[in-house]
Amino acid sequence: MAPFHHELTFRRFALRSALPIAVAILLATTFLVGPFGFAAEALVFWLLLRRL
Amino acid sequence: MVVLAFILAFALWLNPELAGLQTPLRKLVFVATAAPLLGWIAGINIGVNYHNHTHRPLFKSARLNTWFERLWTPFGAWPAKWWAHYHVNVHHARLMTPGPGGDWTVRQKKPDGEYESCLRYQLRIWPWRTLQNFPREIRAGHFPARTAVLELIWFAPLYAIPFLIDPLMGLWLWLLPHWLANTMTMGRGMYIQHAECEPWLEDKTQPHSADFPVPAFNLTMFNIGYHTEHHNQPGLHWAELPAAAEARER
Repeated sequence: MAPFHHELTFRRFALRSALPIAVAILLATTFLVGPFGFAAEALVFWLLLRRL
Repeated sequence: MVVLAFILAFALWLNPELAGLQTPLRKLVFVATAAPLLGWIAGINIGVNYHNHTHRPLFKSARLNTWFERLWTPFGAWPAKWWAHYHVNVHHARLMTPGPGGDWTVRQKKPDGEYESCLRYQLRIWPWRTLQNFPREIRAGHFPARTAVLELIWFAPLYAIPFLIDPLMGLWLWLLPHWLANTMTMGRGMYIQHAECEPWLEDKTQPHSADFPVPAFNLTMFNIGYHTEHHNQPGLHWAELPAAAEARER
């Protein structure tokens, strides 16, 4: 049996899925905050990502 | 998650009262925000995730892989086997080879002999250069006509669904994100991974790929930044790329 690889943990899997999860959450919040709130959230998200 | 994001975007568009999209201005703001986000994740979905599958299929069953692919790649505006041919048989097999029958997936020389800019490449590669070259691939026997037609038959009805539900929704929240996915996300990625590596064609001691060993990038992008190693060993599992790159450098 092959040794367990550290890249294949659930934590790493969640990290690799973080971007589409974030986009889905941003879209879902549009029902609550409307299109202008969605645009503001996306801008904040983009600025946060640029700091990484 | 990519599928869910598209479904959410469609649900918002189709329920304007609930989503606050009653006026053209509100719809414009929504599309201007949603399309780049959808394009970004759709580009990664094909250019990284499906990409890994073309080198190392997810399932042992060939039939299961084929059907999974057919439901997967319409979310990037590609018939499955078309992208696999584009990437594996054109890009990997003919890496940066110039001229007709060469690697038309990377940057090309302009009529004046200079290499094209990133923006020029991005605006041409999808769908224009792709549509121009696939008939040549088929005529030359590199891509079986039967496969091309069969995959198109499965792709076209699936891709048409959003347009049939609402043509404007199909245009703004399906086709536009896919244009962005293919030109801005995948197009830019393809360009920077091999631009200025053309000297390798004449001198194999030169690099054929640009590496991006940025931890945050590789943590979220399946180590695609270890691009030299990926081209050296395309079948190597993405999780093994950093160790393989380190071993090569030693």
